[in-house]
Amino acid sequence: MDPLLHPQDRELEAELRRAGREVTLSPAAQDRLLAALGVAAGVTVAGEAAAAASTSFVSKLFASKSMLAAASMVSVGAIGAGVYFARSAQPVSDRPPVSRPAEPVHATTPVGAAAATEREGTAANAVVATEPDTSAPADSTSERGPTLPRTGARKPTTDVNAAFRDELALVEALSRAVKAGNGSLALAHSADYKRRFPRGKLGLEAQVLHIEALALAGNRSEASRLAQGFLKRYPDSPIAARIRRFAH
Amino acid sequence: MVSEHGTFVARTLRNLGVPARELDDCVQRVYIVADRRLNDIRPGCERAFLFRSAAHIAAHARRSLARKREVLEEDPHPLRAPPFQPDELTQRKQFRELLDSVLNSMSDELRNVFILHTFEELTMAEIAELLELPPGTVASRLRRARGMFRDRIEALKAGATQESA
Repeated sequence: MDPLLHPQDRELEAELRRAGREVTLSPAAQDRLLAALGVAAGVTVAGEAAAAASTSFVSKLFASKSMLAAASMVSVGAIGAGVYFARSAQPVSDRPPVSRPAEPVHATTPVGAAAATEREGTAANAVVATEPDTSAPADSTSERGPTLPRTGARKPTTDVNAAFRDELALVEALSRAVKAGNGSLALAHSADYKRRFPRGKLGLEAQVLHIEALALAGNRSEASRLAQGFLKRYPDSPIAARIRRFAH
Repeated sequence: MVSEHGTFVARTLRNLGVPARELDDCVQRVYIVADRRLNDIRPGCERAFLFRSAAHIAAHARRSLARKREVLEEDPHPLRAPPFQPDELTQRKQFRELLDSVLNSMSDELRNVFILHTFEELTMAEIAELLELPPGTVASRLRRARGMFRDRIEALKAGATQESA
């Protein structure tokens, strides 16, 4: 290796070379990066990953309100080749509640971008809300008289966690089927997901996977139609990048 | 791409002037760009693509940093060299600051070639391929960059000697 400095500065040169080389991408940073790409490539779940997804740039990109509300324990994404899990060994229900707030948006973040993520969150809720809720009959409240406000009628935490784990497992199966190129199986999982979790927390990811499943199964026109609709609603969503190729 | 080139991207960004506190964000930006343009990346050219993206994002980060300094500090010399005190050179941070100062004095075209050769240990032929430049251009830029590096260190040393006298 050719020396850069004079012989008397050899020690200084070695230190400067070391300074230039010692930068590495730490495992934690890799996790955060994978979590960020997970929005394009799969699903990232639980404590560490939620923390990862709520940090700095990732939070700017993906911090839709609804996602972060759920992401006190979950952060989700869908793109690319597979599902990335960062499960803690501790069961979800035993974990202390995560109170990490969403990191404030840096001053350098364009106001439009923040607004876009907020719009996306609102839109995401809207999409889920338009789907019929088959889990409860429409007239179920009339027999019981006045209903309590929603906040007072919350399910126990363990039930919520168990339900989410089921939902996650189904999206994971759906993602695996898409990754394996099995369109018919993916469509079956997708239909199962819509039936069981019409208001699921992973609704957007399931939509993206559903579009991919349609394309895999050969129904490109329907995939294109749904992809165009998705891109119209969420043009700036990082998840949208995955299905842009279908929107002809 | 993350496991294979992640450290390369991080190191490149850092040596292209991205402050340590913004490194994670910028690495993520590079990979998000790569993710969006996955279909455009030719097999075997991943590193070249990542380097070009990193160079673009680092330039943007440096401009943002310079703007912030103008507003917050009104410092007319944002790239002022750190004090060069040989008795404190054992501190890594000082070495890093010194290196940043020297690298910041280079133009982008010299800096790119210099960091790829010095810190990534690429040959000139590899750099030429990665940057899509003629080998002669790479050799010329590297020679100028090395000369500039040496001169800058000498100037800083001379300045430190005068200050201490």
